[in-house]
Amino acid sequence: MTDHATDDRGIDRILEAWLRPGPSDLPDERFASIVAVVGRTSQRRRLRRFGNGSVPRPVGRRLAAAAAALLLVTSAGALVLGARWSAGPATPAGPSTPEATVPPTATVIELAVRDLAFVPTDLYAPADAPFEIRLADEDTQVPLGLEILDDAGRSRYASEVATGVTMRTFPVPALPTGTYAIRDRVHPNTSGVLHVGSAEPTGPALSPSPAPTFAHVVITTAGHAFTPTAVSFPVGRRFFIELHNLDTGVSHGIAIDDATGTPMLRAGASSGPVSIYPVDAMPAGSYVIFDPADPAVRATLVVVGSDGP
Amino acid sequence: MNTARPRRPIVSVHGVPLGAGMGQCVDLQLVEAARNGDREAYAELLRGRAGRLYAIAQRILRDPERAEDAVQDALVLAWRDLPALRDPARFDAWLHRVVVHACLAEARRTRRMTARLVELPVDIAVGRDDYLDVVEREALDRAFLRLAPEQRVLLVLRHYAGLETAAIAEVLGVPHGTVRSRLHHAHRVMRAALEADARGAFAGGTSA
Repeated sequence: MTDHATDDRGIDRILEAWLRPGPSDLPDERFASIVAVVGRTSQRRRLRRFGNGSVPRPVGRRLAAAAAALLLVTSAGALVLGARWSAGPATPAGPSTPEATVPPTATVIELAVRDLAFVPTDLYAPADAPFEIRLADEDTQVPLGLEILDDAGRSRYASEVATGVTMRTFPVPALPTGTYAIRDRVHPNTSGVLHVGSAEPTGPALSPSPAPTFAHVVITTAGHAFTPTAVSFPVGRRFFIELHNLDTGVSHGIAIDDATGTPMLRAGASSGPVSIYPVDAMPAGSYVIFDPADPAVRATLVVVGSDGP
Repeated sequence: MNTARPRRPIVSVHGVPLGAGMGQCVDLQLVEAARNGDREAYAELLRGRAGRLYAIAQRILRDPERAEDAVQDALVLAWRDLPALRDPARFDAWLHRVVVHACLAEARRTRRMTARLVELPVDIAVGRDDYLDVVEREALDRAFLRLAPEQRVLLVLRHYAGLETAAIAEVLGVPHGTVRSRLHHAHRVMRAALEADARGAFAGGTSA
């Protein structure tokens, strides 16, 4: 061996002979998996250049591009709810009732599942009109399906069971006035009460298409970097950051500091592929999102709008 | 370095070298379609490339499963970021770069977690050659895993993928001269590691 390794030519030959054999085909099932993931993955429409041999643009143009990207993210934030609800892999299971046709002006009820509990536990819907339940599932690795039962215990609506779907929309057919039980089909103790035809006691009156109470954005971490590096939310709203961890086996998390370095959010890191971090409404301003496991991994969060009186 | 020996030919389209030795003819229409969100076009692009990229990743990481993971991460990230690729003719170099970065990230993780020594099974039907015996291959495995991930990348791109230094420079995004000096250094480190292994002094100490 050492005889061969006495000069670069010897090393050349040794390395080529050594490296040549071995697997050279990606297994078919892995290729199919990649194509399937691509099928569920949206492309990023960023203005950042990402090519070989490209010449960096002048700083002024880069700033302009960054500003444009920020505007894009801001405007996309208004649409992100509708765009994200149905994303994600689903594993349909079990019987379900036929989906209702819900008009675009129908009432939308926001619901979250956290630690196998509904938040809130009391929901309010209009009588005799279809409505939608939009659900943010923070227990991402837990299967979930919604079921609504009347006071006689009869099932009036049952969705399919799915795992790993973080945001789902359930179109519920019209129900007569009454009080119904709503529960997770998989975990019946995850339950709440659906009040149909009665006004919410402390909240605003029922209205068609009420403004969503929270927003949602996806941040990907891969190769020790966040993508995108700038996100924006409207002021005064609770929101969710969904962290997609592409660094297999490596823990990542989300922490938020304000401009003075004051902690606004501290959450544990996870090596799981998807983690959801609920963030309470924050005042308008610029914040730093970073990975507590690797503080050099950073992004900018801008909360836009007026804080009001 | 033996620069006189013939290497793999550079594929060209319309007389212009494309992919700079990536061994692949770039279908610009497919790349353009994929950039515009055509998943079928992207799958078609991958169909002819995934095997080679996996082979490169596997040789850098010396672990088939981690190589699969790295390639999957890279190809999904490449799809997401494809709209930002400005020059479709550079698709192959860009894709190699994404895969190499994924391998580097994977290798660093591996190194952090544990000093793994994963050795390739010797495939007699495919992998045996007249030049190296099993003992030598094991010594090479040990020496190679002593290298920094960046050095492994250089050696694989050069001696497995058959890329010229200019093409490696394009993949890595560093100057041509930097590749040459780093490649020379990687050869020296590899040689030192092999010599140390032969002396039975492999365990402990640095190799270069």
